[in-house]
Amino acid sequence: MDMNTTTRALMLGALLLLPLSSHAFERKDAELAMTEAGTALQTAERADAAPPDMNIAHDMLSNAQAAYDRHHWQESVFFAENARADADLAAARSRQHRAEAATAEIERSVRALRDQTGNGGQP
Amino acid sequence: MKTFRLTALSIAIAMVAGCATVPPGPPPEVVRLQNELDHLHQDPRIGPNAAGELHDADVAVGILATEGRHMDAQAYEHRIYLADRLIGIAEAQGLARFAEVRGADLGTERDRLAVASKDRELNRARATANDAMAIADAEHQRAEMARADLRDLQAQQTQRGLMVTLGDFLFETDRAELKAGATHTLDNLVRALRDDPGATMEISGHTDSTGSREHNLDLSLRRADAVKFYLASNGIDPQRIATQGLGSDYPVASNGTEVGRQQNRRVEVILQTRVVSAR
Repeated sequence: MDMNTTTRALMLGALLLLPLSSHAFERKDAELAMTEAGTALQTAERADAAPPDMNIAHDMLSNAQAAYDRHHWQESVFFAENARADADLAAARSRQHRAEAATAEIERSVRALRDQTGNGGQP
Repeated sequence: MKTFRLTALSIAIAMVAGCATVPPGPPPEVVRLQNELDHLHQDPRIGPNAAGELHDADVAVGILATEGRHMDAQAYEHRIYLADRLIGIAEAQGLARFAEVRGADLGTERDRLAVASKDRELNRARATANDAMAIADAEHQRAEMARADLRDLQAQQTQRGLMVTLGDFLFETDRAELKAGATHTLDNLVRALRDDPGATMEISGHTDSTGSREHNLDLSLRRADAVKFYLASNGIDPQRIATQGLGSDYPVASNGTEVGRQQNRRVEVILQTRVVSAR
C-alpha cells in the first residue's frame, strides 16, 4: 500500500497552517482532527501495522479524546494530529516489513536455484 | 562624570540587549531533524524512492528552522513531533519501495533460473531416456542374435528352460574328451551365452545302460564337465554353468537297440534366460 498523497498533504497542511503563536481552536477543529486520526488508525490496522506502533497511535487518540472531554480544543487537535502521524508511520513501517520479508524469501529461492544450477555468483 | 555614566549605561543596555537576542541558527531539535533528513537524502535506497515524502519532511523541518524560535512552546513541540514522524514515514516508504523493486528484480531472476533448471532437468531426463533406449536396443539385438544361435542348436522350450540336446557325436565311446570336430556346435552355445550375459546354464551328461551304473555316472559327469571346460575356455564365466552326471538313469529311448542307445548317449544343456525363448 502506497501512502495516500491526500494523507500526506493533510499532514503537511497541518504543519503549514498551524499558527506560529496562539490560535483559538474550536470544538469542530478537534472533532475533525479526531475523525481524521480515526480513519488513519483504521487504515493502518488494515495494513497489519505492528501492535507496538499502533499502541502509540491509540494512546495519542485517547489523549485527544480526553482533552476534548475537558474542552481543551488545541490540546485535543495536537494529540489527534500526533495520532494520525503515528498511524501513518505504523502503516509505512508495516509496508516496509512486508516488502523486506517478501524480498528475503525470493532471495532465498534465487540462492537455492543458483546453488542447484551451480551458478553461485551473480546472474 | 556624566559622560562616564552615559557610557556605562550604554554598555549595560548593550549587554542586556545582547543577552536577550535570539541565538543564531535553528534549535538543536531542528538540527537533529535536519541531520536525519540529510542522511535519508544520501541513502541510495531511500533518496530516489521517497522523493515526495522527503520533500514534505524538508518543508516541515524548513519551517521549524526559520520560524521555530518564534512559536509558542506547545506548537513548537507539536511541529517537532509531526516533522519527526514525516521523516520516519519517508524512511519507511523509501525502504519499502527499494525492497519492492529489488523483489521484482529478484523475482525475474528466480523465474529465469527456474526455467533454466527445468531445461537442465529435461535434458538430463532425455539423455537418460536415450541411454536406456540404447541399452534396450543393444539388449534386443543381443537377444535376436541369441535366438538365432539357439535356432541353430534346435533348442526346445521346456519347463526348466531352453533345452539343447547334444548327441553322442561329441565324444568317442567311453571317453570324456571332446572330439576335435565336435566343437562347432558348442561354439553356437558360446555365442548364445555371450549374447545373453544374464543367462545361466545347467549341463547334464547321460549315457546308455552299457557298463556299470557307477561308471556311467562318472563318465556322464566328466563329459558334462568337459563341455563346461570348453565353454569356460571360450570366455564364459564358469560361475554361470552347473554340471551333473546322470548316467543311464534318464533314458529317452530303449537301450535294447543300437539306435536307442545312441539317442540315450547325450549331453543336455538347459539354458535359463529371461530374454530368449525358442521359436
